Amino acid sequence: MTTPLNILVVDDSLSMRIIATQIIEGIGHNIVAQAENGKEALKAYMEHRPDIVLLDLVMPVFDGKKTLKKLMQVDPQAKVVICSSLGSEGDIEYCLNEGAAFYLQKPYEEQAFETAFESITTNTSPIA
Amino acid sequence: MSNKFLGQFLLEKGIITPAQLLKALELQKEFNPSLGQLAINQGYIDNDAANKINLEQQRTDQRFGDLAISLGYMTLTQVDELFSVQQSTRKFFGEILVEQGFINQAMLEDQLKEHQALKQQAELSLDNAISNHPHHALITNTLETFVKSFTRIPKIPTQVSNVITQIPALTNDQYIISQQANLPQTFKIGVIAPSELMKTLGTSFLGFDTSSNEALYIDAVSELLNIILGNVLVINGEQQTELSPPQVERNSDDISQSFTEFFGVEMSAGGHDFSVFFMYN
Repeated sequence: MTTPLNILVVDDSLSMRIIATQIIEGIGHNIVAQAENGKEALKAYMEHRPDIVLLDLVMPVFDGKKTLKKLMQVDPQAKVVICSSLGSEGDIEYCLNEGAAFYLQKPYEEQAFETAFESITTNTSPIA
Repeated sequence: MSNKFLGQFLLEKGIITPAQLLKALELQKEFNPSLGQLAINQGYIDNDAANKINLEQQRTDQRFGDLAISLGYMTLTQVDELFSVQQSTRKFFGEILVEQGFINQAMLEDQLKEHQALKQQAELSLDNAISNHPHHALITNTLETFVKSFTRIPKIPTQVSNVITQIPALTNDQYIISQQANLPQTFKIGVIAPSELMKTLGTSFLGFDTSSNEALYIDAVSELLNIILGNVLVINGEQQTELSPPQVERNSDDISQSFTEFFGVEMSAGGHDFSVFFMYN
């Protein structure tokens, strides 16, 4: 078992936050905070300094792409895993260019989370 | 004529009564238990284990029996045994109707033929309507992704029935959930679904009963739509995609204002009818 990671979950959908929490806690990591939009996410990030941020892209008002940009400005070392229903080459490319550490396409799969976390903790390739 | 299930078809023709339909549906469930139910009956697993396997099924694309083995709940021999039990007790809907004396064998065969022919006719006219549509690729990809995703994620068998040409007036228990996609032409793509279907989808998607939590099942269905449309855009070969967050409405007048064109398809999932629609200018 690897060291438990502290994770911030950012998704406007309560269902996806529930599912993400079930999977993440199931594989032995901690959810330190949840946020429903980009603004809350930035606040929670400053407060908790999580090891990893799971970030949804399609959110009202302050969407995931803006949040990613802002997070990387606030902390260039932030480890952001994009979790999105979108998965076109353009979206993936955009997010990785903006500093995302990993990209997961919904629906969630436990194995993909494990791969993402392992990749981040050992610093390997960024695409699921 | 839509793609109705045999029982509904017979009911609408006055061949069976609502009480007979209900009885036959109950018996069908009894004679066609799920592998999980059989495993519980045999004492191989408890309810808790069945729920865990079901939950895992929603995240992976595996069958109940395979998961039960890989998670260590059952052996291959036990799963094989349950499969044989399942096969030997299985009964088709029509068979149950005959056994119960609701309809005789000769009549069943005639009705099955007619039902089959109507289904084929409906499929053919649906195929024609879609293939002649100026946005047929988007429509086909969306419908296929709906069927695949509903069948895979909440595990609810889903089928396409017929075309609708205008947005229907909503009944009290229906919701419209839609998203706007810029491809770059702007489309509003959405579903019109009754609350009963949304409860079923929410419960299957999250792995626990959501039927008393309206906000949660609406959220779950919105997210399912979001996942489906995200996948459609990839299949459609869009590059940088723009998809608005899902929007929920209770009145069809609210959504039709900014678009002139409408194309909709009626579908059914887990015994509930719903529609998928496309609006554009």
